[in-house]
Amino acid sequence: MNGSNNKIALFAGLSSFLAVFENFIPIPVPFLRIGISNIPVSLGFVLFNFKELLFIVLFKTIFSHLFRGTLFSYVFLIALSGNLLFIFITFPFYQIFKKRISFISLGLIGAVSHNLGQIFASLIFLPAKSALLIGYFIISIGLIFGFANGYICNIVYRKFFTRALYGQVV
Amino acid sequence: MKSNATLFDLFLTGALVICVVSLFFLKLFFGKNGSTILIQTSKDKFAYSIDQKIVADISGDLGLTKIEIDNGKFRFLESPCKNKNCVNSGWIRSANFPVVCLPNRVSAYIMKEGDKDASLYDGVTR
Repeated sequence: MNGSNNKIALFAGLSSFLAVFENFIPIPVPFLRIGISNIPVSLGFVLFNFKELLFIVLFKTIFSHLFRGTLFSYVFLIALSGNLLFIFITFPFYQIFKKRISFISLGLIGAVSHNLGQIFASLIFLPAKSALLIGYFIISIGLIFGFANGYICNIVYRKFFTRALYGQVV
Repeated sequence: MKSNATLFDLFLTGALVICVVSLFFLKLFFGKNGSTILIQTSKDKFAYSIDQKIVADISGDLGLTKIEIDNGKFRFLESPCKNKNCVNSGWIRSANFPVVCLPNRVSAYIMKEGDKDASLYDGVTR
């Protein structure tokens, strides 16, 4: 296993741990997640290529649902759709605008794409169209959490990565 | 990648917030809720167009319930029930928001565009 594989394993593990951990954070609305598991994924954009990021996202999704006991349910399919749309939209966005953006833009685009993927999947997999009724609410809250996660990523990136990318830490 | 918020970030944040708020208000003021009001009693089921101004007399278990339909909204105008909870519900404009008079066993709601009656429920047990 080379150094790059170690980093992928580290980020996939950290992201999966945070995905399981955020289930224990009390939120007034049951289906909402604050998305802290996306912090390592967002930080991974500066380190990994598309395939490696896709592996981290898939590993995180499968691992967290394995722990929740929802691996073979429509909940998993909805989460998987959100994560796939997230990676397929955010990666090209990062490639195009990486010289002009910070992680805040990445967090916002990530949150919106994630939520849109989940809403589309809900419309396909659930019989009632109730996802549309709460769509505005989910996307509005998603923007707030996306902004907050992006801000945290900026701090982590400033404190550790800028030094580490040119030094020894990562 | 920058490690501080950039002008692009602020622009994107503003644009997304404006988009979400605009969509919300567009839906609130111009969104079409539904075109049919479904009224159910213990014996019958009636469908009326919501885009008209009429008072429908519906016969329930206790007596006659008057439901007023007024171009996109409805209310229970009169009911023979004791508590008048249905009448006190006032005007209803939202789809899939039922008003139920349990004593007279009359219920009414605006059906969402394209919805079938059964699609409102996750499942039905018999």
